[in-house]
Amino acid sequence: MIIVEQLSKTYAPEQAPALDQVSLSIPDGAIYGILGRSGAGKSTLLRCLNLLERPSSGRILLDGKDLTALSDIELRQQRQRIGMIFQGFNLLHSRNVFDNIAVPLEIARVTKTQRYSRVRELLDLVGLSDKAQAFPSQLSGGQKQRVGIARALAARPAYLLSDEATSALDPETTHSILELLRDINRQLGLTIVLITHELDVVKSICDHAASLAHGRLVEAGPIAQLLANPDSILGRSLLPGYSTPLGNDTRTLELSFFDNLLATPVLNELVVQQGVEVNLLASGVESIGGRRVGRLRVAFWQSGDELKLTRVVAFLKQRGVRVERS
Amino acid sequence: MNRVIDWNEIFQLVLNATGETLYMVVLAGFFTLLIGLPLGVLLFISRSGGLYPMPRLNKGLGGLVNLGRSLPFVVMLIALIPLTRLVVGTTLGSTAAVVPITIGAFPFFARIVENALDEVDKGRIEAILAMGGDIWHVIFKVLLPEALPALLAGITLTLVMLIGFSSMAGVIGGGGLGDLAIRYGYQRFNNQVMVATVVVLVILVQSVQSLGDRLVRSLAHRR
Repeated sequence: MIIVEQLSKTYAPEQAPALDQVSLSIPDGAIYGILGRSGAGKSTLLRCLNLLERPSSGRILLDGKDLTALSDIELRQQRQRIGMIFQGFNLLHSRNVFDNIAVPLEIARVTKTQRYSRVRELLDLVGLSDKAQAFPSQLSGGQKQRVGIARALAARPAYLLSDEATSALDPETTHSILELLRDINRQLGLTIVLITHELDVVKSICDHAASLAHGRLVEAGPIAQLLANPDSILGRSLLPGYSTPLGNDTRTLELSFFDNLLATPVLNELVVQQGVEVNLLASGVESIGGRRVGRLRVAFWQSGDELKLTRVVAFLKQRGVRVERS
Repeated sequence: MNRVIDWNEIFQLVLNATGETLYMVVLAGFFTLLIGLPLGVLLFISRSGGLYPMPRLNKGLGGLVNLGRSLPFVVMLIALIPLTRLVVGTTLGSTAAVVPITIGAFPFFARIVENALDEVDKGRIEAILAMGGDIWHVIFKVLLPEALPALLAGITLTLVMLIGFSSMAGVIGGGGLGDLAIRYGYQRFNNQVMVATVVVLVILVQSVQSLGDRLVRSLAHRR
């Protein structure tokens, strides 16, 4: 478990802080996505988690140990428990794939025979057994990131930090790298903290999310909760979306259905019980953070009478539908 | 007097002088590497904002290095005579020349090393630190191996410069090809010796350069 307490980072006194009193807790086994635009401070936050960046104030508790209070030697020991992968891969070009993956093992003083079998294992895990002797310059971006992941896992860390690991990759490769990360999370029980500016990354693999803006934490929590909370901006941005905004059409609502509700004829009940007419404008179903979510854009009429939209909204909310109006 | 000397004699003269030049270059080259490489690493890591910031030491070393590089070599050759006597016990001969040649060359090489290390991608250094590596891991697993092609190119450059320096060693009786060219080619108007010296020097420099280039290429090839 990683607990971040009141973390602030200021680079220069005349500048706005890169991080401003950020507090988070990252449960074991989670895939925790931190979202934000470039310059929001997410990279600084991630780099504080293994103290590549020293915070100006605040604490980082790794399984109860305050990283900021450790000696150099203790810190290096803790860092061996935290793997890290990078947007630019950061592989050593003077070494082939095999020897790149072996670096953390050399640092941890693992014997040569043990190194050999561990690296073989990892090559197998990331599907690069045939590339052991290749040099990084001979690999594609996706292959390089697989080597990066194998290297990060070599010393059997409990945590994996991912610094925009898929941002330099094409969509298909991104997908396969994310799959790999999810498999690792499930198989090894590894806690993954990733930062990204891509909502799709969070949607497809994360079960927890946080958003940062101007160095401040905006929202954080399990994705299931964020989605269910109608006030959550982050939750809303994660929902299946449409490119055109709702506008100020007062007849139109945006409705989100979760999990079992998807198989319940809620709209039909609404028509029958409330006597309203509906027109479906757009809809989509996605799987987000392990939940199935359907989102509809619906316009309402009421024959004869004036439309009582508040009653419609109340009915839907009572049935567990997340409702947004213009 | 312009005595005609035969080719056999010229061959002997040039052979001896080449031996002296090689002796000075190899020995001075060895000490230049020995001092310049660690100094370059130290200059790089002690920068403010560097891996192991020691701003004062960095400034001091940087100042010394600049001082060493600002003196013309001929002046240094003379000015360092007392130091030479202290180190090797004599102020004359090829061995004595190694001292000023080394001192003239290592500051230059240290700067080359520093710049070569600066070209290494900072992300790779960070990756090693993130996996729990210390400064020695960074130096021996990242900085030196990753900068190796640039370092080899720098060593080549330095060796060529050492050949140049060694040609001035005649001033303190160091001998070598430069000395031969001055004594026979210039002072005795012996064009045969002059030409032979030039040919050997050109071959020497070309061989060092192409050997260095080939090494750099063979390394860059697989990276």
